[in-house]
Amino acid sequence: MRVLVVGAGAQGGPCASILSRDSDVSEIILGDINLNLAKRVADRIGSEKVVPKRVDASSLDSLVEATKGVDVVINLTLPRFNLNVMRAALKCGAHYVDTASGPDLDLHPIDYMVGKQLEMDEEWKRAGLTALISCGATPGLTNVLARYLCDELERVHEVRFRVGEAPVRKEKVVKTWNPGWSPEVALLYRSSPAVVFEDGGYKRYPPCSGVEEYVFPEPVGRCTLALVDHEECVTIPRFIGKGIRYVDYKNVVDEIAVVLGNMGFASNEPVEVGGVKVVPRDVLLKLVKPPVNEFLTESEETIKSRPPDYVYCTVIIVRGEDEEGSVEYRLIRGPHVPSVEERLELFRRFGTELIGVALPAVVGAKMCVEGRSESGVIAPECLDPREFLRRMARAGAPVKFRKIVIRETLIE
Amino acid sequence: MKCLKEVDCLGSKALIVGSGAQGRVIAYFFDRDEDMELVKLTDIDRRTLDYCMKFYRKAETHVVSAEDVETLSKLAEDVDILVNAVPVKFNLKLMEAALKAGTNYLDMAFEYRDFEKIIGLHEKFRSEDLTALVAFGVSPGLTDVVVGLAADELDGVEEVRILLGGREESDVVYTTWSPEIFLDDCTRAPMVYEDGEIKYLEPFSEPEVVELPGVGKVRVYAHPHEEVFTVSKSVKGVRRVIVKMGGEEMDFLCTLYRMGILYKDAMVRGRKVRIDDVEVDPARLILKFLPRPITGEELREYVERGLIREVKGTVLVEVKGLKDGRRCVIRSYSPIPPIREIVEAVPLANETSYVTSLCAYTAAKMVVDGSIKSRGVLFPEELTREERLEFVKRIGAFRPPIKVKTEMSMDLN
Repeated sequence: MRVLVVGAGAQGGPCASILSRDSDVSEIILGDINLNLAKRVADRIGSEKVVPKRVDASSLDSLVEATKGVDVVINLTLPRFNLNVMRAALKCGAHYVDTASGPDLDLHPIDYMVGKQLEMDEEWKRAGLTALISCGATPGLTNVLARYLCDELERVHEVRFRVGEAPVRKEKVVKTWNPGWSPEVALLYRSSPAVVFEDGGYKRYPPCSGVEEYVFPEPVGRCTLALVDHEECVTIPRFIGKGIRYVDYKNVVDEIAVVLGNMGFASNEPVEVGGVKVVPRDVLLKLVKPPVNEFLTESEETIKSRPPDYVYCTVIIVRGEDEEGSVEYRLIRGPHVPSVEERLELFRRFGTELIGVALPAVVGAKMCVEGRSESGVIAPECLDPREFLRRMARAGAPVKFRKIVIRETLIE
Repeated sequence: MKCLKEVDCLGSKALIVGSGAQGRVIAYFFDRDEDMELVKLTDIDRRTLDYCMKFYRKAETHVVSAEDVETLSKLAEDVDILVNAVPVKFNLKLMEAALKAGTNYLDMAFEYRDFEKIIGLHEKFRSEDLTALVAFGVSPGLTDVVVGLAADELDGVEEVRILLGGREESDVVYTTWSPEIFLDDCTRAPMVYEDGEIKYLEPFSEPEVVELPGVGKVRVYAHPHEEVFTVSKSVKGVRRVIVKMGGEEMDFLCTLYRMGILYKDAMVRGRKVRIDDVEVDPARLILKFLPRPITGEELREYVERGLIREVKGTVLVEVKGLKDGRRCVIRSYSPIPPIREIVEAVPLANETSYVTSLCAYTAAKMVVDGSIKSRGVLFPEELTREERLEFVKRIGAFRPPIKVKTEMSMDLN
């Protein structure tokens, strides 16, 4: 199996590393606009299977040239390039996987996925190929888990995602803004309208709407959550069906991003400052330190000396009906702070512990190549969830969760 | 025509220089004071004066530049006190005008680099039998009075900490400060008095979370403020003096500072960042985004419409020292009166200008009516104990009052 990974950044590196240790994979072309970065990542992985290549994701020609002869393309660039990478894959007869559809520039999942990516469904079906979109951690694994719960029900009324987080160590008195990933995307998340699937249609709410306090198991505990522009709300109602009336997604409010957004720093509209016109977002992004590519410096030593910053907990709530009547399922994943031993084991197995997004993408890509997916443009909830989770476990990263069934009971 | 008798001060006059946020409110207090015959209010801008005049009964206005010592000293000749409510760069000029006119003087802040020059005028004012009260608002001002009162209780003062903070419950983002001044204050080096000297720190240094009575937990940061100079000069033997300030805006500016968007001395230095083909100063962009201060009338409207529901703020003064050989801490705090009462009492005021101007007016009035008999250039803590107690009594009797509560805790063993 030959794979093209587009983008050698924070996710592309781990993805190539995971693939390089997979005996089914014979070659990984690691493409990036920055050939030097691709080379450094390939050196860090240290496998002959990884071939760095200069690929410009904004150029269809460049993508087509790199895609020729590969079985699947895993796109780990920014969402703005999704359509280009999809077109190149379709043209070259390769399957396609990405891990996000926005927000990016002025693209939002609701417009981008429904309007553009899913619109290509017929073409992909005709070609007998699969484009698996949004198959990372969340969206991705979350979609698979939601499907796993929905399989228990005959009718699904609503699906709710609640994602909490807490710092592992006591926070410093003063925080700076460290979104932990692309500052641009973090800023956009909190200044973009959030999409909720409601009464059979998509509805947009202002940024940071629907604030609620949610109590997660310790050590995450109580979190202030708000609606966010997330892919699950777009694809789940479309693919799971079963009469779904409501899907929303809430995660922890990045207060600093919100205030920056409210102040005007997320704005794309030029403002005049001291006689010149500038776009506030450009000024902010120019000055915010870009996230560090942890993959490049990762080693057993750094794992021992750098404990994880945050601990997460995901709760998926599905309400609906089965043959016994109304029922609610809750799936709780985490919170779990991995020990140094667990993290070292991941590192030894995959060459990286940063597998959260990359491993579901690899599992999804392999299911496409091995004919375990329908053709067309699909989302992770279209894959067999048990098969997907078995493959995660077989790869060495079992997905552990608790499942709670709540059923109103009356004995007469 | 000086009025020095405590009871008979009918027919007194005051000159308020500057009709900005403070001056217009101080003028309002004097305007409504039955002992006062006349209030003269000046400004460089006629429109500002005309706007303020809508609220007064016996004030008269004069368009004068604060730099025009000649005209101001003429205007000050028949008044009992000149109150300086213009930016600190004019202080020395206005002190000169007061001396020239032979009248008393009060201001609410000073330029730190002028500290020695200001002290240097002490003999001149004293020999003229005049009082110049320097830095007499709420903080600095009331804070210094409270430090003085606490110091009286102790045998020796070791450390003075002044903590300022607040929190609003509001649907509108608003400010009571000029954004330029707030940004300038926040990006200048804060100081601490330590080891017998004033040291300068980085902006937003020494962050800590403190519990402010009536406000709750607030993250405060070292902030440049007059008390570091005045308390270290006036309270003998004090080893450490620091002022810390906090609140949501401070947190946010601190974040911007740590992100590298805001930088030290941003308002005086300037810095350019190249974005494509233009150069821009990120601090000026922040300035563009900061809300403009609202007028008293707007504030009143927002309060009445329920958009601004509660404004909590407090000044906490912590004085540590020894008493009868035991370690002792005196904590005094003064919460801002309820915002609804403030806007009803003084239509021109916001919460900041109300407390600042009430303190300034009260001290100025005490000079006018002879309750303050100390002469020379004085910081609030340098008044006599009787004068300080009278001041605290008066602001506590006003409607709405600024109450000062004090708690003392002492190690018994």
